[in-house]
Amino acid sequence: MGKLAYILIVKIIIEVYVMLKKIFEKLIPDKKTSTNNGIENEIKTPNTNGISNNVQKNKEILQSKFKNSIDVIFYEFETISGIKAIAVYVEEIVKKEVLDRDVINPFILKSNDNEVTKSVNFETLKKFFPVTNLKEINGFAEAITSIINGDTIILIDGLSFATSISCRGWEKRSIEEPASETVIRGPKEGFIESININRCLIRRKIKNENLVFLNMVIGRQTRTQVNIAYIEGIVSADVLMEVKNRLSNIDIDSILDVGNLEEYIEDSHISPISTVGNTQKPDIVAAKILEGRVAILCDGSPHVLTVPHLFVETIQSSEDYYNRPYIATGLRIIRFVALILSIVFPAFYVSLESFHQTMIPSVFLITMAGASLGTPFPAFLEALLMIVAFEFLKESGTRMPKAIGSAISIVGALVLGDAAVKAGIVSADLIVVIAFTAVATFIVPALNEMVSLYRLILLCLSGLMGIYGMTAGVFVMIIHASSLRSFGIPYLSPIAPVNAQGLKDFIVRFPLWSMKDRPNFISDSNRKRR
Amino acid sequence: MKDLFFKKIFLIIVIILAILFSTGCWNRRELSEIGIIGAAAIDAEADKIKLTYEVITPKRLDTKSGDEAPASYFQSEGETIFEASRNSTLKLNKKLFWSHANVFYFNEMSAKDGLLTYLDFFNRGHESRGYVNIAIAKGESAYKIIGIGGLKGEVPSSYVEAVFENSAVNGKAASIKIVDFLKTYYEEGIEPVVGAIQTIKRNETELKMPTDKKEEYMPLVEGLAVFKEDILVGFFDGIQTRGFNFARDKIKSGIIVSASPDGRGVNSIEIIKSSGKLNVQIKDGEYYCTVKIEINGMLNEETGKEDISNLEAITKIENNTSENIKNEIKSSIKKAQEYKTDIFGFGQSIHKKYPAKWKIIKNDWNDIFSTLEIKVEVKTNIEKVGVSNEQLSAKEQK
Repeated sequence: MGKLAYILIVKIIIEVYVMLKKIFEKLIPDKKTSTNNGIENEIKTPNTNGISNNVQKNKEILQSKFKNSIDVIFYEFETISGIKAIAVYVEEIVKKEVLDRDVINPFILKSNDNEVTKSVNFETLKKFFPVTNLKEINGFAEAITSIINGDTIILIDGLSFATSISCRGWEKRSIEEPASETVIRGPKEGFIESININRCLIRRKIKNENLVFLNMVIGRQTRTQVNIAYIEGIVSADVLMEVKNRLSNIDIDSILDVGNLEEYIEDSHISPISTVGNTQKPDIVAAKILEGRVAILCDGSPHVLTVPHLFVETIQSSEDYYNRPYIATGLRIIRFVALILSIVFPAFYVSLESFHQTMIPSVFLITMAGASLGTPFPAFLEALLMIVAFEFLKESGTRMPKAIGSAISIVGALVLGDAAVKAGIVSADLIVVIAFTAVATFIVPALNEMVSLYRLILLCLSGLMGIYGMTAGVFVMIIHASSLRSFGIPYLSPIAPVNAQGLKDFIVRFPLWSMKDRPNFISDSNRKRR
Repeated sequence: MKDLFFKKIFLIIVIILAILFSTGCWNRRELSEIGIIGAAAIDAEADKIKLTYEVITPKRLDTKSGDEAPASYFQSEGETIFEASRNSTLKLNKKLFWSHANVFYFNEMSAKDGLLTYLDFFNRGHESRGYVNIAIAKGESAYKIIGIGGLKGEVPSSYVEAVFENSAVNGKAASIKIVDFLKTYYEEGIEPVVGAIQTIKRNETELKMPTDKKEEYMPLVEGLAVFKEDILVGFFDGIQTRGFNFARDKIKSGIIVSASPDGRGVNSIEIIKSSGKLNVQIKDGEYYCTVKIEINGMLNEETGKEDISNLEAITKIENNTSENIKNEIKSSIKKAQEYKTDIFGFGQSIHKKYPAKWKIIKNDWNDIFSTLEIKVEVKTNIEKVGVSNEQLSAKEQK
């Protein structure tokens, strides 16, 4: 009877999962049906008229394109020799000092003859601008794109093309250690919101001509710059293709953070497990792309996505490779145990307390019974109450202004902990369980969302059916995780399917000199690590 | 398509409901609903069973513990143990929970009836464990033993269980669990034994000492109840019990007192290691049984005058000790032969060594056993003499 019911429960949960998936798929239109190519999105402005040789006319057209927005500056000036010109740029995203000193100033002074107007082509014009990054621009659409990207356009009377000069520069955060990924050993620099700087941070780690950055523009309104980084010769061609495909299938208005992209390219939409990794540290990204992964950078976001993202990565830390293998292995065991405990501990406790008292050591049972004597609710409800309270605390801790932080921690620690016990709402040992779980949750931050969800599900199952329900839930969890794939790579590899080379970097972190090959479950090309 | 979808949903709901309601005797109960049993005393009387049980008081955190009694005691009657246990619900607000019991006491009458009839409940029930100590109340009702012993605030049953465990370094008692009893019962060629327990009156001095519960009686676990099959046939005293434990190789430690080499004092040897072996040989239809004991000991006390740094003296001590142990074993064998029950397991050795012969004699083995001449060989090695070579009393001789 027991076994049969057990199998049935597992079957039911799987069925429910499949059904949910179907419902979701019905609700969400298949993303692959949109065939709009992101790379071509770049220029879609209808007016493709060429630039005329009348400076005033050009200015009017551009002004009307920008709808007289005040941050677009049209600076009219005249050279010594009397040539009229206009510089067009967006305020504060160009470096004004550079523009004045190296572009406008020499141009006004140098062009004292009529050679400027005579030079009908771009090549002869070049010598008047002693800067790099000059570009000839013929259409208005092109001009607009380069203006909004931070370039300066110089229009000269009598010439039917524009010159774009790149002297971008704006206020940005300095490179500092990311607050959410602090380390004791290893590099402390982190990505910032500028994609150019982020690219440079990665390039500085991998000084190799095979490191490739591909550019894409995604978002019809925001036209956000998105880069794909990989190492030619190491990256798996299939994964790269898949990444390019999925990115170019995205057709939306805005990309404000790399998180927007994540949702569009992940493998399973209804799974609580994320199949896309993210980090704020260049050394981690470098290590990942050196293993054959692909990184996705997005302008305006200090996070960088890495795919494929597998389960092993969640218990790995960059510090593991900077510390000695013993310590790294010990810490990984702790992380693994913490992960398991943070999911099952409350459920396990509840099922022991209300179903399997036989399993509790006698001495502890007596104290436990004493603690739960005065409490009005069953253990399951108590645990649910405390877990929800903890989630509240967590959320208010992240959202609140820093100044009232101490108030929250006092309320959290005193009211929810001590006072709840004294008031007889929950039993003291349950507080210990929840506190322990809370601490364990943050040891593996990458899986935070999934852990919170599974914990609740398992708690409900164990409140209904004891250990029996809990293990059924765990089974389904594992089945689900092993059915997942991240960009074609099984989510649980190298554990399932087993991969000997990959297992060297799972719970036991082998010495670096013994990991001679790259993990071949990610990329099969160029296996040797040298 | 849509029809199929809803059909599936309907099916799933039906199955979920079916599972939720068909979970059998598995049950959800909150901790506050159960009464945790620490010990139970089973007193068989002529036509009914009197069940006395100890319900442990949960330790409350919010009140000052120590003021409350650690356990409360109730008695109920019935024709069977289970009925008696269920009858308790007529006067108790909690369901009895048997899983955490420490010890079960039986009176002599229930043991003479056949212990198995009473153990069946504890062996069958899903809540009970086999690793519970059982003890026979020697010469009194079992319920008199329940609830005594222990310091203030200590649960008496866990106190008694700890005493049983503690007695292992003495050798004069045996801690027998339900599984041990059943194992020896079903084994061929060996009869079971069970620990014995009795109450002793405490003397005036002890009672006058402060910080105690001031109980008049204390539990004492010395001795052994000897069974033939599952029927109680008699008791061993402490010394005979130790002899039995030597022969069964169950001695972990113990103190053997024997005469000093010069005869003017005594010494005590602490047993560090003891190995006992039974050996049976059949030659020409005759049984030659030997018990071989080898003991490694440590001299812990010596009140005689002879210089023990001299090896001869040590040899004398060793011989005296061996002689004492031999007598202990012989007296326990003699007693067992009187009861006609082979608790030592000589039959077991025959069963292993001469299986064909065993088949013929097994039905009257206990009778054969009672007539056997059993040789006992004891060898003592004194390994250490402690940190001083000379005893304090040896000085005046020099």
